Amino acid sequence: MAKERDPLQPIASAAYMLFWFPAILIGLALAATILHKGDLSYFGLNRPICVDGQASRPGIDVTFPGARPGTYGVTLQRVCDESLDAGQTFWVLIGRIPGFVLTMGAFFLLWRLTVHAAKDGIYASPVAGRVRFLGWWLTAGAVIAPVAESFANFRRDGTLVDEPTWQGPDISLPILLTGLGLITFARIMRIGVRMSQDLEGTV
Amino acid sequence: MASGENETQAIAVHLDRLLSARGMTLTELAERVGITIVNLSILKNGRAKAIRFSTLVALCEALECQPGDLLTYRRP
Repeated sequence: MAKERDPLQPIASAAYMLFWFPAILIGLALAATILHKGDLSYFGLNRPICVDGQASRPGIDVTFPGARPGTYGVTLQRVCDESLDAGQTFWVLIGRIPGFVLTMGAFFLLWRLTVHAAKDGIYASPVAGRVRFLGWWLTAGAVIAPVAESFANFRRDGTLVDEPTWQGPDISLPILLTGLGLITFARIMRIGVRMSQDLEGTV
Repeated sequence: MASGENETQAIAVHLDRLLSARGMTLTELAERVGITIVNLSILKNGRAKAIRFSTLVALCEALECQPGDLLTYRRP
């Protein structure tokens, strides 16, 4: 009889690496930040923040090497600030944290899911519950995180210009669909769990 | 599931009665039908959720009985 493959692979190994590799990097960055008295450059927060302005109307004086006939050039205006104050740093952080929490949270939940599935068995009610929770995490996060980031970016831009432009939230359809798919899959799993429990009592 | 539990409890298995009537032990029956003692104990003690036709056939052959002698329905 052919050796049965581990049904949790390759996602179990991927989840382990996806969670622990960034977690170790974050830990190192955090340690470096503490050692260097709160220097947030290890988290990429030393970069200038910019706001792109409206493109100017087509100008005949704008040249673009290799531009094909019939095209025209525009000039973009950008306002930047290299020395961030506390308020700006706060909004930059708020603009990044929701996406980061969503991603790392999903990796953590996926890793814990595979660990428990390996320990309790695939056809166990708590495993289906964990799949469901991950599904809701992704579904809710796919909407909440971009809205929060969009709001934070709007407030951040407000520190650079008087009338910032509201950029609508960039909701990721693949993440949303993955979340909804996991919620459905968890329901299917619950049916499978019941069938498995019935089979255990079949003589 | 509560309704499922009630459904299985409504079916009584008379394996112990048939065994004593035929002077047979559970171990002997297990050897004859090719089912483990553990599974036969589950069936005897009314903890089985389902029974395969193949198991029923093997038990009826070994105990020389009809399925109705082995299983009865009682109103919960």
